[in-house]
Amino acid sequence: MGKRPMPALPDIADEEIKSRLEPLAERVLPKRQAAPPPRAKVVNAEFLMPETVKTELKVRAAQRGISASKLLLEILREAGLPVTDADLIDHRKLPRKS
Amino acid sequence: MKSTPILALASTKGGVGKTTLTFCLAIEMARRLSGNQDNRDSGNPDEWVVECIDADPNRTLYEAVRKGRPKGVHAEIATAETLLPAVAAATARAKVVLIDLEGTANQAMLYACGKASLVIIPAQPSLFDVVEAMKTSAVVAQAADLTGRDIEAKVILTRTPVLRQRVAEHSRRQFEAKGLPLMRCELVERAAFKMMTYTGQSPSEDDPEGGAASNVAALTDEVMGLLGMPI
Ligand SMILES: Nc1ncnc2c1ncn2[C@@H]1O[C@H](COP(=O)(O)OP(=O)(O)OP(=O)(O)O)[C@@H](O)[C@H]1O
Ligand SMILES: [Mg+2]
Repeated sequence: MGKRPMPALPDIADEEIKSRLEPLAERVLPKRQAAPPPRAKVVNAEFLMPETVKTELKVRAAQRGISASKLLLEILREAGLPVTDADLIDHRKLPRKS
Repeated sequence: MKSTPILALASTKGGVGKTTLTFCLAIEMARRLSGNQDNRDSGNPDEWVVECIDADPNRTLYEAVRKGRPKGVHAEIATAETLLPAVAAATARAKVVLIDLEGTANQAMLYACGKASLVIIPAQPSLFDVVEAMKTSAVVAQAADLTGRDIEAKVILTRTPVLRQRVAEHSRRQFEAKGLPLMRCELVERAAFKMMTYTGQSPSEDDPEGGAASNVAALTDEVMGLLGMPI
């Protein structure tokens, strides 16, 4: 095997090297866990609504095993209200296992 | 103007011998490049022919150089943020720059690979190390691609048994089967290497006629050849 002469490597500015390597960092470096966005302050909102709607809300929530508050927030998000993922975390206490 | 060669020692796995290799190479290269008899560093920056950049937060290399004060070798610490400026400053001063990295994929490793002329990937003769060497070599290949630079990567087998030649042959084939380019030299398992980074004494100083010293000499020949440096 003949030794090949070392090719002259192009000299690139440091900032250029950093920016060119950015996609590689995204691919190979262990992802830093981004902190979840803070959950907005929760308040007790009282709105009047037909009892039938309230009942239906509770039934559907129970069918899915989530709280009525969470279901309502999902529906409100669908309607375009500013509900974040963090707001959707169901903080209702889960029933104790045995 | 001839550019200063930059050698990075990288592996996604820890404890494979990066620091041991960097330390041996630094001392032997400095001995050859400075051609001076006196063995200890005088602290005069004009005499630093080899610059070691220790980008491992454990600072093993930096501490070894501080203890041993080998002639012509200067070591400094760098983080991912300071690595590239440190390399730029080092290339302006020295005849060769060696970068020792932490044994994991991190930002400093990417920058070092993007800047190096040659990346040496140490690996022990095990199947697990074949997989790790492939990961590291893929990072180098991608860094070369993205920076548009022709960065060479070579795997060196480390801590290979002195006597069991057949084991070594078998494991060389395992690396070659995965298309990993191997260096001819290996770093043999020896007590002299084990103690080195703790004592700061390299085998070429300790026992110049011993097996470890001749291992380092052959290794330095090969590395300087790969870097295009006159031997
Ligand atoms: N050829 C060798 N013979 C005997 N012991 C060795 C040899 N090479 C390395 N060692 C020992 O193996 C251990 C790991 O080596 P070293 O610190 O050089 O690896 P490293 O790749 O730099 O590790 P890290 O990833 O933690 O920085 C050290 O205790 C060292 O003394
Ligand atoms: Mg190390």
